[in-house]
Amino acid sequence: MAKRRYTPPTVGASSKYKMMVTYKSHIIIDTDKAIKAIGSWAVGRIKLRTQQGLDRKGKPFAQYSQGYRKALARGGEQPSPIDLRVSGTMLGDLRVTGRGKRMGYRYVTIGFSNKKIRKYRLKDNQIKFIGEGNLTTGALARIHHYGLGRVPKRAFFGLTKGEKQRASQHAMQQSIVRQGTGAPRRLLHS
Amino acid sequence: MPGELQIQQATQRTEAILLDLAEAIQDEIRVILASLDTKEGSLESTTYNLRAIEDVRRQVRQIAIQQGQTAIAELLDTELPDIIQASLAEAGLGDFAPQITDDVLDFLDGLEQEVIKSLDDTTGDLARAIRRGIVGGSQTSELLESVARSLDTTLGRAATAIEGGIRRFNERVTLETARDLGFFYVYIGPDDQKTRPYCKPRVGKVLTQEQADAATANVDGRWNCRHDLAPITLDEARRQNLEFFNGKT
Repeated sequence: MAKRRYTPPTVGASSKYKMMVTYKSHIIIDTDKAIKAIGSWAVGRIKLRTQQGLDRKGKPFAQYSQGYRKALARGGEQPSPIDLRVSGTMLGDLRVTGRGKRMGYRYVTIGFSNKKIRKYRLKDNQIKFIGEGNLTTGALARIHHYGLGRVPKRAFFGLTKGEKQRASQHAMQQSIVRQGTGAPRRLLHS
Repeated sequence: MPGELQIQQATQRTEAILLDLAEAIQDEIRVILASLDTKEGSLESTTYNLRAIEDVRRQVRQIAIQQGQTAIAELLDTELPDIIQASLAEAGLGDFAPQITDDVLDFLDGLEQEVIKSLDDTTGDLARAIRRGIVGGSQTSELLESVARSLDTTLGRAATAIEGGIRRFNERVTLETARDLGFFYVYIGPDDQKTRPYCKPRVGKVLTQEQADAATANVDGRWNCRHDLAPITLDEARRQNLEFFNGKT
């Protein structure tokens, strides 16, 4: 008799649902919902934390240069906190960009759409739009994150270990399809 | 991602159409100005010249309607919807594409009207500038410069409308991705002298799904807005001590 290959306990014909069985209980979760929830949680957290002027480790961002602070103040914009936001194009572009499955794991990606940034320059004591540049939102985010030339490093992208745990907790709560004690009596078909 | 590049290409294409249109208008005006009576390079206040102002208005409007409206309508009605659908499907977001595309299409309809209205306003501005030039005996070259400035403003306005459309599309994607997953939304962005009356009471506050939907749908109150909606859970909102928006403006 041919040896049957062991298959892990995935539920239903598709991989939409995933079951987790412990000694005393089982939980069935909708993986689609779970990864969507994780992606949205991460996008929201990065945007909010950046708005509060904090990097991914919760430390304040490096200060703006004096000249830039003055320019912002003259243009009627708030010079603090450092929120990496002049027109809002870069951070507004951060979103869930995709999801899929690789090596048996579901994943979600967040990022930028690589849209071109519009250029602004100090003119008549105000920051004014002067045209579309070649810099994309993704490239600008990279410059801010790693620093380049006179732009200091402001690492805003990413989540801490605690944040990842909180994201997973929320995703689990939102994606439970069924839970109970003991092993499930019948498999769920999608 | 390829889909997003398609959207970017579509934006560039819209901008190219507008640029072509501006060039066509400028050429037409150059021809009209060249036909005017001048004395030592300055325009003369003759009946023929004053009548030419009406020509400017008529010709430019005709170009705007014939060339602009056709090209923009073609792009908005046939090319963009397919591009948006394809890009959403490639991003793995195809399951809620219809909701987003309907919304984006509504916006694009408005955008077409906006662009045509801007061009119409510009024809008025151009006619006024030329009238002033004729009465004041301006140089033809000065008038051409003023025409170019007016068209620049129109193009800038149209580019802002397109930029706003793309940003709104991103906002909709964020909202649709997080829908029914227990999220609220923080209205994030600066609170300074430039902040508009619509945004002022909402900045830094937590909005419900319905309030966030309403904010995204508000195009006029959030024209070229710097603010953004970030998904947040109730636990996180409490952890950050954030206030809820009470619906009062």
